[in-house]
Amino acid sequence: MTDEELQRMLDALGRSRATERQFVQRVEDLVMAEVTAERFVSAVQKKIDAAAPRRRGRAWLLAAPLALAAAALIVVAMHALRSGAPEGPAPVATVVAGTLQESARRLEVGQEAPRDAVLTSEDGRACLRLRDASHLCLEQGSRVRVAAEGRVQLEAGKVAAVVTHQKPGQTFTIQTAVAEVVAIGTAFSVELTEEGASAIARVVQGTVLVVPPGRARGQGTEVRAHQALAASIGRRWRMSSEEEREEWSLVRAQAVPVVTALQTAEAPPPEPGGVDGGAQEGEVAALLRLADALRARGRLRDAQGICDGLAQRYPDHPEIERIAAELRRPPPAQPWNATPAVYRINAGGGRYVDPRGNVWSADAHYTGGHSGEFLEEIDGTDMDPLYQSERFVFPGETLTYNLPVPDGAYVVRLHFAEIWAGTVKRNMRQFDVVVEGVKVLAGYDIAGEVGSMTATVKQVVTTVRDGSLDIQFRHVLENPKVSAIEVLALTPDAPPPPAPAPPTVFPPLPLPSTDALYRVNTGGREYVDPQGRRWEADNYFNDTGLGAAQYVDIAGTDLDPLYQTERRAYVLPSRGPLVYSFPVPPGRYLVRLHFAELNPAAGAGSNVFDVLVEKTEAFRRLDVFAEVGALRALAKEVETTVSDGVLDLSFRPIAGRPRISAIEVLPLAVGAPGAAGCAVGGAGSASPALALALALAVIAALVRSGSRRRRPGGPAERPASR
Amino acid sequence: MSARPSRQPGSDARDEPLQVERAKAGDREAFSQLVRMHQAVVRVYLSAHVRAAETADDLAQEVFLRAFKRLDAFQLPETGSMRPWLMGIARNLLLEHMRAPARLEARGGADLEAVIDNRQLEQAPAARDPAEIERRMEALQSCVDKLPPASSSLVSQHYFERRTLASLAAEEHKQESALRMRLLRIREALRVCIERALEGGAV
Repeated sequence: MTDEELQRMLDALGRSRATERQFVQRVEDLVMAEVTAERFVSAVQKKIDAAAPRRRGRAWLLAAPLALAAAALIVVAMHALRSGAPEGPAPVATVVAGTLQESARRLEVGQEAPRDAVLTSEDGRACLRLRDASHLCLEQGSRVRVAAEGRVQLEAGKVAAVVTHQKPGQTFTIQTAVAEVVAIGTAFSVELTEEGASAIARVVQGTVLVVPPGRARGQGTEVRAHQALAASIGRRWRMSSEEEREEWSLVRAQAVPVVTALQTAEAPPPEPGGVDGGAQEGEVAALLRLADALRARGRLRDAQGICDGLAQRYPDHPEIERIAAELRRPPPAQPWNATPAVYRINAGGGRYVDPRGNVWSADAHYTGGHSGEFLEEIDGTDMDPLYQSERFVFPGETLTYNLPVPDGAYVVRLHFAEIWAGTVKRNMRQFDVVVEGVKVLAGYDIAGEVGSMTATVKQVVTTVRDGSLDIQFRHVLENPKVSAIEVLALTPDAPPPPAPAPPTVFPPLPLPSTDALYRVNTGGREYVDPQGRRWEADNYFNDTGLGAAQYVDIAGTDLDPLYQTERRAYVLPSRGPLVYSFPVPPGRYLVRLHFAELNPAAGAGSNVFDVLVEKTEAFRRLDVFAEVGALRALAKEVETTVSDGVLDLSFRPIAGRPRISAIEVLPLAVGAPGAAGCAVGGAGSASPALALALALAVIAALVRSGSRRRRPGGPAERPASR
Repeated sequence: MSARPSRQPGSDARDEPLQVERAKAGDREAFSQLVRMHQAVVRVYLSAHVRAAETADDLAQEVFLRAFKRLDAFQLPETGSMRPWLMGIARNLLLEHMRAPARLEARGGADLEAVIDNRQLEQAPAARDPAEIERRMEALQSCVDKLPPASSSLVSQHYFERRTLASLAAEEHKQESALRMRLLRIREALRVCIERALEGGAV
């Protein structure tokens, strides 16, 4: 062993001890970037097909680590609530799943959490069992404080509760700064939107009361099973089936039998504004995402309600107005409901004109049966009135439709939705349908096929030889029912019209993303800056380069964390240059790049590189040290035009390694404002269906090409913005 | 329901099989614990072959990132340690890194470091294999411990605590050159000690 080797070894050993923490931190940052890169496909999915891309999907479906809310405003709501529990540091809850952090401690399964301790769920979902056997589960990145028996404060994120039946006079309350949710034996969840500006209560079973801080219980808003309420705008909606599934999964996670109970009153209007900018944007974004999710399922009225509530709370908000304009756009014409029909009958209901202008007659040509209705929004359709009314028939009776038609071939469409509370699940209602003597549906189970409150259509072809098209509904289990009937003539040489494919899918809304389309803390983790802007964890890069970090002060900025981490191109020629690719709609953009030379010992000329934006040289021979020295922030901007749906940045080395601390992409084109209000209706234009079809094709191509590669797929075309 | 005895956070930190299992299940803290356990030897191994400290550390980061990506496929061997696996990854990375030069030269010598590193490697008497590096590290540790207190303290302060010779000299009111001589002699002693330890002799 030579002296030089020994020196190197001593040196390396020393360095590994001295910088262990930083090294581990850097690996953690890399791992974090790797993990977020795995979601690249779904991020691309959401961005490619919208006029103004969304950057995050539904908060409750993505397991993305939530940034702990900066605002930990614990507003003390003075209520007539007995705590009934003794004071003191006695333990108040036991961890039953996952792990929680309590200041510096980690609480594992079986360990107890003291009263008033602030508990965070950084590692993932975690559940607690309280002394009264109620259960609480925290979603990842949430923060709660169990103040006393029956009182929990939610400071950030989301908590789901399964509450045992409370003794008379006792209640279980989840408090947040913006609302209190009071339960008396239910399963429900409370979620705070980003920055904690709005609380959303979702009830799986039972009823809760949502009370604004400082108000008496009698002024609370009741939220029943299957409903959700956004406290800040006072709007309720029926949860979409995805929301419900997620909520049920939280209940199941608690593995506790659910006890039900209920009742109460009506709702006061919300109070407008008084929320700081960052929290406001977080709330607007979260609630608009909810509206979009509902609209995608055809729940236009509920989506409209949320939009209206937001417009009331934040009048003249340009993003809300833009969404409102979008909501006014009629849904895409489906090829299957544009054809003229011999009959369109709204079984169990009255005359109805659908959004495509088709006229459905009041119920007619039937024998037997009774009409029924349930006026809740139906998933998967924008023709809700058809499905909200039905004709059904009691045992011992038969329901038949006899429609006079000239002899010939016909397409028969039967519309169904399971709207009755007694038959909401599989194996509760089954029936046969016979058309012109042929059994076309045997033991048909609507809820088993699509669930409840969801539209579906069955299409069959038949030939009539006796001048009457006869449809019969026969009992198997419970009572047969039908929501609407269509009959279309089949011309001999023309093929039958395509079968309807519910549920109707609406293209996503162009949700706001504040001013920048992308803010990425390259080489680092997610970061919320002092102005409340969120910078994503490193993403969108090809597989070249390593994160690096230097946790020192950076001059010339108060966004130090951005500059302390960077991605350096790891110069292995087999890998090619470092490239960042951002899916964006075609248009004009401002790209802002942030740099800092983190190595004080580097001199001018150590790290020199070209920066190309959209294959054009934006900065030649950039030498950060030569420009501003070491440990000082440097930001450079360039405008560019993107026509192929992807904004590419590449870094070409000249000396040393190219490095980048953060990237921003800001749109320069401004969207046209719409008129105020959120009412649906009016004439349409454009072709969202085409855009959606293209987007789906791109998504399919991306998924096929393998989601691990971070390069986005081919170009995404979208018709010009309205 | 009886409470389980509470576990101290650090007690199972040293339990590598447990940490591996947790890391494979997605526990990132467990993975970081594994990084802590093995970062020194990986970095020392890479530093033995690569001149620039920054490059060695870049490569070391990449080792752990690759390990993270391949966790699913990793099976803990009988020995209960992932070190051999990690060192295997490190060695492959080193080989990849060494294949750089030809094309680099064509691009106009973009990364001089990599070129130098490669030449360095070519000239090294025998590229050390990871297991040997590890043995040398252990030998070095025990040899340093067996130095007389003043010498062991000097080695510790200069190499492990990263104190400059200038500041150490100032503290002891000595010349820097004198300290340098001392360190040279200490290193000679260490080398002898290490070689003896590797041959299986007593230290």
